[in-house]
Amino acid sequence: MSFQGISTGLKALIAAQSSLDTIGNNLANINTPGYSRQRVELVQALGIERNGVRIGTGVDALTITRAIDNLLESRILTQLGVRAQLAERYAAAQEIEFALGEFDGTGVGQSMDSFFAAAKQLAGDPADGILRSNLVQGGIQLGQRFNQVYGQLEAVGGSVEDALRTSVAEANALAEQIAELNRQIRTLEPGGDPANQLRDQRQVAVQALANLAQVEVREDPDGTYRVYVEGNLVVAADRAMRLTTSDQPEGGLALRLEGSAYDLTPRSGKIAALLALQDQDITDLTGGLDQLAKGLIHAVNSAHSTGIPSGGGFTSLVASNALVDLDGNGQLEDQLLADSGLPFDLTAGELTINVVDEESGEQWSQQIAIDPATTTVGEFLSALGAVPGIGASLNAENQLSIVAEAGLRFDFSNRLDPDPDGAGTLSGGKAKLGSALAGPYNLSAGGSLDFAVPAGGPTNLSVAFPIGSFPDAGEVSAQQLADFLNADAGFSGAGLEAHAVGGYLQLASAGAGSSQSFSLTGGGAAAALGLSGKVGQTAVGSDDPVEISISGAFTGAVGKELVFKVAGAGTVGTTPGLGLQVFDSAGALVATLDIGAGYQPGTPLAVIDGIEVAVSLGELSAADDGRFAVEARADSDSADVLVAFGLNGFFVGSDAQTIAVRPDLAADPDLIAASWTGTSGGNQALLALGEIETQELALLDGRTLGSSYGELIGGLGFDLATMELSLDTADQVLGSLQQRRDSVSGVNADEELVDLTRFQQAYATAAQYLSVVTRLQDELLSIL
Amino acid sequence: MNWLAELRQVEAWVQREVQAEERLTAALSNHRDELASAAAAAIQAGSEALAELARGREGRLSELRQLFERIGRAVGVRGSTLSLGSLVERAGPEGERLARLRGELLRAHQAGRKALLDALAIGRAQGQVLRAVLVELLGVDPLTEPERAAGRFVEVRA
Repeated sequence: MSFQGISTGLKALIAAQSSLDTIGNNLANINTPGYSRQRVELVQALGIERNGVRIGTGVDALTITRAIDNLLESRILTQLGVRAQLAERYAAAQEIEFALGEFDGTGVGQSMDSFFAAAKQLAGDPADGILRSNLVQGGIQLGQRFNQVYGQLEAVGGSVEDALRTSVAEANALAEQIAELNRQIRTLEPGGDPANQLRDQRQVAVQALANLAQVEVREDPDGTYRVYVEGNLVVAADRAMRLTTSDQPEGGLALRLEGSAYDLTPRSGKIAALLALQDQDITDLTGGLDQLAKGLIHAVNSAHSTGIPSGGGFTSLVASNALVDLDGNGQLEDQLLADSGLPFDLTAGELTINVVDEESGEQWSQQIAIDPATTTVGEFLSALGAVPGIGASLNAENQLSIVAEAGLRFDFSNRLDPDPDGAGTLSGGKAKLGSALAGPYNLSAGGSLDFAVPAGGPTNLSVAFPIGSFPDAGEVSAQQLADFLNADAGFSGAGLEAHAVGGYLQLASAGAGSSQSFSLTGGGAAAALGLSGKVGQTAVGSDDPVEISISGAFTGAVGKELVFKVAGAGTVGTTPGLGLQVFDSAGALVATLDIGAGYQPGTPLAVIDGIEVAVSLGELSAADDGRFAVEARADSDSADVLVAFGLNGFFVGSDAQTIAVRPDLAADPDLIAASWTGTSGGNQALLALGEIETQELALLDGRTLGSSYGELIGGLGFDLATMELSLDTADQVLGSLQQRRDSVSGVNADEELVDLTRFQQAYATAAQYLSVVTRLQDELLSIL
Repeated sequence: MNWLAELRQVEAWVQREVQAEERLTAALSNHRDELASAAAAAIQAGSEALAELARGREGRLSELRQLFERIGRAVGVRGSTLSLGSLVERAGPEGERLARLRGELLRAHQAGRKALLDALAIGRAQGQVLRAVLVELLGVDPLTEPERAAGRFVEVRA
């Protein structure tokens, strides 16, 4: 073989060797992540001219190139980020779902159900000690479940922070690796050899980075990559910029480039998912859980705080929520109630405080008007202290402390006055007369009322009503008139007193008994005051008076004043037709109770909304227009004072982290305030507590506890389902892209082997033709 | 000499054959490169080009054998015993041109022969290497045992 022939053969062998090596390398790397299929680029060597004939000089293996589609690689980077973000959020959502425990029966929802079921069960038998313990245990379990779920969510949040720090460190390591590979590629490639292996390694690193954050890549002419994370240059040539995490003032971590003053907000990748989990998902869940716990505490404590324990009212109470010196002046009394750091808002309204003398059974109630925007802590304390028998102060922990004097107990129930006719304007032994008209009265013409009051002999008395005695003589209320009359020395000196009952003016003797009597003898104001029918009538007291008592508990949704009046005349339980009419605040008749023949005196009769009245044996007559009134309050703490301060609550705390059963109540279930009346077997507070489950609560934006919690859980379920679907889609898209990449860059063993076989067949064919040519050449030689 | 016309036809034939041999040499040279390139399609195309050239040579050799038959009858020998060298000797001075053309054809043939041997050597070597690789990978020779080789790609990949 000539030198040229040897050279040609050598080139051919080198080229063939390169091709075979490349095929072998492709096959060997068939499972290497990121490996791009390589191809030997063969070019025909320049031929030589000999005897006017161009003769080829073989083939050169020019270069080995990676089969790669840059656009496809870019789309894969994007999709990797999307997929990683979804996968991370999905995994965290599953963890949160597990923490909530709703699907294994240990969640807050189940605990709430159990708690309310225990409350309803106890309402059926409020004195049952086991049921009381059951309710307390249900409350403890519910509180602990809130605490645990909150703690677990916080733990997830903590692990998110850890994962965020780790991911950022990983991203920095990858950026360093890409920068180093850039340096090596830039060093190697100018020598003529494509650094395919390094480029593959760099692509793997870039893809790993794309799993963490949104990445864009641009290749510079020297073969180095510029890598942008969320639009920020992170790798340039052989330099890598570092990502850092910084603590946010409101908690959690923020991401930024080292030295930058601005936070990065990743759009995809694991870091984006972690930041979203930290800033949105977990925050929303803990916030929702807090709000739910707050709504529960508020509602349960509202029902419980106005109740009365089985042992009766309180001798002392200490609030569980402390006041905070928000203005920092060392004084709490000067602060408005609205700005005193209480965990629950107060509203403008009233607090009713009832005081009972344990020995005599005497009861008195007082309403304290509160406007949190104008009432100071000091004013509130003073108002409490002004209630007879009650003292109020702030203890060393800035908690409100209320103490009753010895022998007294207090409560905040909406209990009814058991003796509503204490003034004796309808029953009792006093002599009495009532107006036939309800106020306000028109006294613009002035006038007087004239009385004859026997005191060892008739004493004539006249009380004048000068126009200037009232702010508006044309609109004088019954109370104004009563106050005016009681202030008149002659009137009171004659042993008379005036009352305003349900808007009517009622006149009575100060004393009781048959010796008491008085007559209305006339006067210019009698007609205006609805007393003209009473002129000449003598009211006489009784030695055997009728007694009226009220029992039950008001269950109406709106408070009202009920006015009672006799219908007919006669003996209770004997005279047919004798009745008791009941009017509402608007004067409408709401009930007529038969207390005549057939009525067993002293038997409670249902009026309306849980109120009962009993009338003892005795004489009653409608002729004197006697009346008494019962004030029924729907909410004895319309200002939410008790909940805000944490007085007589069932729960303490104000959110999911702090909710717990009141410690003294947890230790002594008898402190459960079941009743609004203080009577044995009273269950009104428990009934109200049981109803909370289905009530729409203002603190939960008008939703029930169940629906609010359902929304929280349902939202998570929806998110999980959506994320699962999105993750499937992302997987499919990524799979499709990677399949396309494999078709371009991946090694296919079949393809490589088919190539080999095809070559083999081509060589076999060529050999056949060459043998023909050989034969012909031999034949030609034979004739030469 | 009564076969001078046939002699001139043989001279024309040799002249055409020299050109054909040079084309064949070039084609073989190219084919040698194709064989070295491991590009199956190029090898296939080169083989087909050679086949075309071979078919042309078959026709021309047939034409030459007919001329030899006629000359043989003229000189009283069998055509198959004649060669270009024997014609040069029989033609004497009239054969000088044929002698020169024969020399050209001989050189062209030698060049073509070298190209052919190169191509044969490379093709044979490549084919053997590939065959060995395939046998190694598949465990069976797909050329000699195509039935057994069927489906082997999938198995190898698995």
